[in-house]
Amino acid sequence: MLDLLEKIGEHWRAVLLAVLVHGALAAGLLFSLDFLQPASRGNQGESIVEASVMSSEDIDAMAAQNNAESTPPTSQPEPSTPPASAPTEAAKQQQAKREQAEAEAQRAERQAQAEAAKRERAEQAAADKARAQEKAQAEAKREAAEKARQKRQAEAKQEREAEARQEAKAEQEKARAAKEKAAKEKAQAEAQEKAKAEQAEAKAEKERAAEAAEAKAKAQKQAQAKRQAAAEAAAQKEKEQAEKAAREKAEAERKAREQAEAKAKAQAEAKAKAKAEAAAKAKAEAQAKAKAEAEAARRAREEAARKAAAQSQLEKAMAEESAGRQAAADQRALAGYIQAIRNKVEANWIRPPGATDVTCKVHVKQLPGGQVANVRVVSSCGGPALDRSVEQAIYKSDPLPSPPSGNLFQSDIEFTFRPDS
Amino acid sequence: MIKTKRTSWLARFCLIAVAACMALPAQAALEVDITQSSDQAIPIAIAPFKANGQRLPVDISDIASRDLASTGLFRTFDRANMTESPATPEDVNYQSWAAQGVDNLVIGSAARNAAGGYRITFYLVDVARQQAVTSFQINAGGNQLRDAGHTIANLIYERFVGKKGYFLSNIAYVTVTGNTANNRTFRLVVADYDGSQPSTIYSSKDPVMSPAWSPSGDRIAYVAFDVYKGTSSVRIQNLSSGQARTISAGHGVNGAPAWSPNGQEIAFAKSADGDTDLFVYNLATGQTRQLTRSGAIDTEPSWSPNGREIVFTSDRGGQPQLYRMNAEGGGIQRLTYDGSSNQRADFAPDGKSITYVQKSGNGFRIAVMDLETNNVRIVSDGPQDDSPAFAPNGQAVLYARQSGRNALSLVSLDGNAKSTLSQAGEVREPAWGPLGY
Amino acid sequence: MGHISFGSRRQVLLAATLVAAALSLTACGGNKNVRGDAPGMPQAGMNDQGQGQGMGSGRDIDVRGLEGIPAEDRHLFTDPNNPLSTRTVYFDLDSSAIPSRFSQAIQAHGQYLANHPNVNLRLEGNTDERGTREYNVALGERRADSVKQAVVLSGASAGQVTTISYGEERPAVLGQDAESLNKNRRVDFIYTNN
Repeated sequence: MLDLLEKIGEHWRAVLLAVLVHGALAAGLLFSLDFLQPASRGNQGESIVEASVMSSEDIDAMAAQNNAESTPPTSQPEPSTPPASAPTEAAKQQQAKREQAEAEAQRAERQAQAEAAKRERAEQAAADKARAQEKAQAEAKREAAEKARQKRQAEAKQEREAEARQEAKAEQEKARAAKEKAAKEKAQAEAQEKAKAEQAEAKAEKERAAEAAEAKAKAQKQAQAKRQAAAEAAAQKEKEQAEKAAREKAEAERKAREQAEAKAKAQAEAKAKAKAEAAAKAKAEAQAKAKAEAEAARRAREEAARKAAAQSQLEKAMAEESAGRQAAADQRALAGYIQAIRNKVEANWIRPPGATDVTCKVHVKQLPGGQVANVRVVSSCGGPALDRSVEQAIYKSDPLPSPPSGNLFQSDIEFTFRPDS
Repeated sequence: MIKTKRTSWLARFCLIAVAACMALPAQAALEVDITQSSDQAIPIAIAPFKANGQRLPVDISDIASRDLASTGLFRTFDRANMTESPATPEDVNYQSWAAQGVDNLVIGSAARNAAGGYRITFYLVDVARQQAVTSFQINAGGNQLRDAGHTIANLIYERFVGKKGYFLSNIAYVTVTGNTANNRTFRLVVADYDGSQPSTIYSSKDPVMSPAWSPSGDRIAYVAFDVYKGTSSVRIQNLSSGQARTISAGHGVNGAPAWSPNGQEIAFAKSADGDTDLFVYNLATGQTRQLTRSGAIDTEPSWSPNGREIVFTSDRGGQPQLYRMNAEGGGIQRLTYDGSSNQRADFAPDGKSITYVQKSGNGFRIAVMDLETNNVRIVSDGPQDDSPAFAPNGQAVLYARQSGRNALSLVSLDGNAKSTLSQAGEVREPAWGPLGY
Repeated sequence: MGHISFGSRRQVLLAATLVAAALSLTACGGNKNVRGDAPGMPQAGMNDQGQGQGMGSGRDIDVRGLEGIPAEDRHLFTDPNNPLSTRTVYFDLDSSAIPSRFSQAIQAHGQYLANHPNVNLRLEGNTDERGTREYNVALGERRADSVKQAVVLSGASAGQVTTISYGEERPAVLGQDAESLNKNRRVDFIYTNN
């Protein structure tokens, strides 16, 4: 041991050198690893580093910025592709986004609900006799909806219900039959929930509508592709009433989310909603007008839901991007920046005639405002007149275009003039 | 001691490491590829030059401005829109010029020199950079101001285009006046490249044809007829002395003279028994040698700038087409296949292309062929275009437009810019002399 | 040049260029001054004397071209019923073949020349204005020679007949219509006394 130490003492230079060399190699490895990525394609490393320490607010801000600067969300193909893996933060954020989106969907739903209320008012005037019965029906329907939710019935059933609804629309008889069925169900439910049945009719109706709307929004999120039509004009009429309902709707939503997993719940609620609609239509005695209104409202809801879903998807994608794909976004922004510079210089370059096989490199230093600080022809374009023409093209392009975001700015630009290749 | 050394080593490693860190991002410059250019003309304004506040007897800046504009490569500015005519870069109001889209500004002034002429100083100013790029000084005699204007244009042209300007060169052409077929006067005229300052060097009631400049620009060869005798002749006339010398004359064809690039020989066409062939006349020895012996028409020779080749028109294939051969008459190859006929080639000064007349359909148009690629471009509109001649810098072609009123047209090599030079009477057969400087 | 405050090295080069330019200006000006009034030019050309005679007497094609015919025979060439009165052969486009309708006239001229060995004929070839000028000169010469061969076949001696071509330079008719062009693709018979 001592010998070893002695030897080390004797050859301390060698030992030290060895240690240092190893250290240097390690450092070199580390550094080179760090700089491999930023060195590619002229991008700097900051954006990647920043992405990993970014708060969600920052990411939101950034996403919003990116959104504002890039093409509209519907025409952006990338956000729709699923992420390989999303960090938990991103997932949380995603959840938040989804909620936000749903809230928005509900806001649109208010219109539908308002229409339902309107329709009901008309119905009340038309049929006072059946009022009590209708109350009971509404209660029963609500109960049925909850039951259905718990049962988590399959999608096939939902579709069947929808078909039933359409049939009800077409034929009053069938609608009445459905009404009676609902009444029977109500009778069963009364034993458990008498107190609720005595509550104000309006409130009950509102809640029902809210839940139905919410359910539909969820369902639409899954079957979004099918539904495209937009009847926003009709929806806007009832904006004011809808706002009142929005709050209640939001509450109902939260409740629903707690009760069940998203997918099953959506199915169940969709079914319940379909039932509710069928009942409502039966109440309205399948009036053509009411049907049309309902249809318009449905389309409005679908549109709103579709938008909300698209938005949530986009935001989700952007959240994913901010977590792992910021570099790709930067690449796109960088490409746009380079193209802007290119366009300006090309528009200002008047190429002397007669010269062939022109190719040259020009190094330009710019200030943060795009002001050209220095132009250096690195390799001649083939003659002094050509060299001057490219210099003048760059000076005439002063100030050069600004980057979309500050972190893309580079003080050094290397132009390659190669019009003949 | 040991510690210091260790520290210094560590410091060195750290330095290297830090340098490595710094160097990588620093090298990451934006890379921008430029593959397109604007097809705009170069915007340039030439402000009036004055001598001690007085106008010059000749408006030299206007001459230079017209020269540049005639090429189609420059967009000059109307003097009426100029708010100032500064004499030095310090006096330039850059914002004002930039606002008018003037990228390049030429300003200058003249002063009397000791020789009784003028010393003209002018600056080329880059308006975007707000500084003079270069300055020039010209001494010109009192009667040379016109040429001084052309010289200004030459200097600016070369700076932007990279080729010498042709604004001091001369052209020769033939004019014909007289209204009836039997009462006409043919004149061989030499003028500035733009047709100004014309002077007649030969005139006759009988046809005059085919002027050709000697490479040095001191002589012109041409063809004159003697209708009374029924003869034709190839003549060489010295421009300064007016002395003429006949190198071939007689019945039949004596025509189509073309100078060798060294100025010592002239290729020409001569007929025997109705068959026209090509010959070469040696100016020093007076000897003639025959180049072609086909039974077909061989005429309209043009010598390549390196002196090794001659392109000529021949109908040995049926229709007149262009052929090339070596200067000894061997190695004949057909050059043109497009159109129904191709005739009367003129070599570009760099020898890389030829211009000629192509007939297609019922029209005759001016074509330019790249001899390396055999690509052909039609640069004129027809229908009766003739006698194309390359500018001495190879950047334009001058030709005769012979439909309707005859005139000379100048077309830039890319076919984009055209300008017209018209004279009284019929103008035909332009020949473009050397650069003149 | 001292007052110029930038690009001193470039300046020297420029100065050199400008000296050269100035020199060439001087040389150029010299040329131009001489050009206009050089001796032996416009009206003093060596051809002018000959032209004066030739043109003076030969404006009308019926008279011009018969100078070489003895006075007592000239009526043969002006009588429309005599084939000798045909003294122009017209050609198709780009052709030097003699249309058959001229055979009789050509034969008559050949026989006249055979009978009058002291008379000389000059055949002047011409073309229309289409095509390049020097090529047209060669084409006109070919036409003139094809008529010469025919005349010689009809009895004339080759030594009696000369040819010249003016190409498109001496159109019989000025005009770009088809009829004018047809009239310009021709060979004229000129009986000369020289």
